[in-house]
Amino acid sequence: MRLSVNQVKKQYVEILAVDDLSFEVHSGEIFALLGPNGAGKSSTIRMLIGLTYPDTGNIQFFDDQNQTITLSSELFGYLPEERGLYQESSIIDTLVYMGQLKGMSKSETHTQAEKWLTVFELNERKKDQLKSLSKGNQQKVQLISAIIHQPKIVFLDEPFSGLDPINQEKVIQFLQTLKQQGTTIILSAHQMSLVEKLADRFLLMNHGKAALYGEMQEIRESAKLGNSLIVQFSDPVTLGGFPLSEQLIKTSSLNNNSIKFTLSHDCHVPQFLQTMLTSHQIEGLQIHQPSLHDIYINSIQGTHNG
Amino acid sequence: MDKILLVARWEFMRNFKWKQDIISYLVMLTIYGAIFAVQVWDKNSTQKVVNLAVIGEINTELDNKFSLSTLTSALTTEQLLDEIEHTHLDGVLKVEKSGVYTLYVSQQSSWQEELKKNLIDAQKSILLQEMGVSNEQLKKLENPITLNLINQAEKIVGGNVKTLAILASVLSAMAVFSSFGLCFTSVTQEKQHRITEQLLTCINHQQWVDGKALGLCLSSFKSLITTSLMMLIVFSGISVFSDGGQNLNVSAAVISQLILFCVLGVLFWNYVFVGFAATIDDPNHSGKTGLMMLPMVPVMLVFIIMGEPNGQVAKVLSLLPLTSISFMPMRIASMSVPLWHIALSLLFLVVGIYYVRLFATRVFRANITLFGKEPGWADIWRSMLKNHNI
Repeated sequence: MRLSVNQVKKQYVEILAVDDLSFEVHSGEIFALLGPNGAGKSSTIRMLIGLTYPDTGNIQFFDDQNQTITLSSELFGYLPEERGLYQESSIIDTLVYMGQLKGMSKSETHTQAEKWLTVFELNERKKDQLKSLSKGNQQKVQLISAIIHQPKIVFLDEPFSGLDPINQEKVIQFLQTLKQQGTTIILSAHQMSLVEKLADRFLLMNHGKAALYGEMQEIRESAKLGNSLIVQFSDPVTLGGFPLSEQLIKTSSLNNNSIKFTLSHDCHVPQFLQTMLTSHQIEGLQIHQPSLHDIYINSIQGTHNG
Repeated sequence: MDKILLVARWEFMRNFKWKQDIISYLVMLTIYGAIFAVQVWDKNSTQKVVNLAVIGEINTELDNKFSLSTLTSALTTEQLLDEIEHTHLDGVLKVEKSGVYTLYVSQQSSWQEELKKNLIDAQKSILLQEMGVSNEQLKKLENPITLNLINQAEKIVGGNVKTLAILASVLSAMAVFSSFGLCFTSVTQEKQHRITEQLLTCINHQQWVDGKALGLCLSSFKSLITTSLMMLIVFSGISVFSDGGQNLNVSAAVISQLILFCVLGVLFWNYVFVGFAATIDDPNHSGKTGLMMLPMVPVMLVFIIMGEPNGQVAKVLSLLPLTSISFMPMRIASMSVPLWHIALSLLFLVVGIYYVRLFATRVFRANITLFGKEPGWADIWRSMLKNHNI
């Protein structure tokens, strides 16, 4: 199942939440919506699942035969940004209720709920009230409630927020399992290192618009952020020996023999190194491509006002 | 329809905490029982003989309860009170020739009122004798005619109409208000916790509103039935220990009419509650919480108008959906209401439910996803008038 968003706009009274946004999500991929708070990620997700409607533009969903389809409730799952299922109800009752609302039979929902609760090591507590669980475990239950009916596409608004690193890892494995089963996943997140590891493609939003869009390599190219080199010299060096230029944006000394060079995106690394080798002897070299975190910070800084 | 029933069942079941209900009703029964036991105890422990000293001459016979002795008139008030304090006397009655009686006691007690009544009755009897009027003549003067009231309504209704009218109005109001509190946990809290967002990916707005309203109605009826049962137990208990009581053997036709108006009225008000509760972000700080008290109006009005169940005001208010939940049961319980009044009121109520259901869904649809900003009255009004996209 894939989807296409075309020139979508959404305005709430005086706030333009989404502005002329277009992108596509491919079938079976993990697609990450990134951006600072207020960038329009949640508004976009709410339009995708039909909670709200675009003022202009359109959103289309396609099945595996590339036919346009209506996104019925059985086809998708949704995890809202803010959590909170029924605190006084038992975990299993809540999951069965949510599954039945998605059109599943009671017995089928029971089976699925127990399966996923076992994955998240919560099956022994299935009869407990939700409020007796920790915040992280409650979040896992809500995540199960979003996918219990085995949807074709899931929308997860901030699935990692409030989770400790171990639970973040569990959720990553969970999402990878879903992906292997062919589920299309659209998520929004602020945990750049996790998302970089997990997602196939990205949409970086800012002020309701698409700032960067595509696979990691495409984003790197679009971001025009160069590589970083960590060079270990044979002899002690000083930063003064490497004047900044159009190609060398920044230098920082790591110790007497090592310097970190931040290059411009159009800097040709072999050529840069060759020039360096004419005057210095190099013992070691590490090349770092800009991370998603670097790209995010670079793209948002200066444009984000709050 | 399946999903509406699923939501309704969920709402009902999560408010149906049978263990807590049984405990609270047992506590209530215990409290009623304790109050009743204290009343019986008080009645049985009332002083049997009152020792009374009389200063002066008392020319009437008092009840056997009062054991009289005489006392010298030379004592001062302080001495009299001291006498009471240090002897077995319960009081001293000073009789003056002018007909003024002064009673000295150390504490208040119910026999003092009885003594006053005894003295007045006895004095009245003496005066009547002096005037040559017999007791029979006095009774005739006090009740010159006998008015027997043959109320057809009581024949139709089958019981004491006034008690039944009060009971019908109070129980209907109780059913409405029991869902008032639940509405905040069921709708506003769910909105605060963003569960509604997730639910709306499973069901549409109309199904959500219908499910909530039905679920809350079921909770109201559960409260109504258990409260009625409690009242029945309490009334039965009282009638066993007291002389008879109110006749509440109501006819089946009247009961079914009362139930019909109660069910539809509660459904009507629950739709109103659900719609408005969806616009409230925080019940503690919202100006709209006051509007949720709107059902108080017919309840208060019905007690004012109860004396005239067939008056113009009662007739009109029993037809309007906003007030019929209190007024039509009151009228049905008080008189023989023309069938066309009942039919018209039902028709208006059903049409009212249809529109209030529609408006509740529009209000909910327009406001449920407005986060961080509670909609104003203008927003609510706009959302009621048009079925727009959000």
